[in-house]
Amino acid sequence: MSEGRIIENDLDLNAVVKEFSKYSKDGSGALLIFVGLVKGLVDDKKVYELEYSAYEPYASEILNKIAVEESRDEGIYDIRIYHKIGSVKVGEPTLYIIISGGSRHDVISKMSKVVERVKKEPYIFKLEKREDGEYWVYGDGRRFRREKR
Amino acid sequence: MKVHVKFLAAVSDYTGVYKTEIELDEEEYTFNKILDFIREKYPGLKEIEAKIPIIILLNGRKPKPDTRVQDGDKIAFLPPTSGG
Repeated sequence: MSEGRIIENDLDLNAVVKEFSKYSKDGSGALLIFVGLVKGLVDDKKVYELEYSAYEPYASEILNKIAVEESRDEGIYDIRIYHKIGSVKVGEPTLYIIISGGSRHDVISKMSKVVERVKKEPYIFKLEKREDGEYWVYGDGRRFRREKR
Repeated sequence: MKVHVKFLAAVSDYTGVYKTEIELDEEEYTFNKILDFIREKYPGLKEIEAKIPIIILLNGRKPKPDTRVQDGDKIAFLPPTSGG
């Protein structure tokens, strides 16, 4: 059953693959997993970690709404969206999106739409801690430097 | 009446607090009137509002300016979202 929510720990992707294999008997032939990772280099500056926060319960409500709405299309069996909050180091996962569908065409086109919605809609915030200071990231990759106050 | 106010992420850098409660004399206020009180109490809000577009929610939704705010309602000031 489709769902989306904020999480604090990593997801066991092997368990997800195992769970989603149940859809094969109903005609699902494709499972697509997207994992967002923390980048270690931005604007030629070394990034140490990202600090994510969220306005709950509304952030989870919106993630869930995206998963449920986008799974209504024909050819889509199940969508799960899990977004981590807290401190996330370089190379660690921040976002998991799992889509089960009838064919590769169904899940690949759907994934692109879901990722874009997750970037824009839920009340999730990101502080980038890097070698030249701390930057709040907002909108489509815009940044402003965190000032000591 | 009492309203619960949160300043999320970058906004809290400019208010110095993450959450607070505002006590008001009357039983009912419009959303815009309450915002005037909050901005007066936390002048740093104007500073960050000049820097980035701030989202202001009432009980998790975007209200109309003349929406009535009631005892126990939750107001939140948020920076633009940044998921992923």
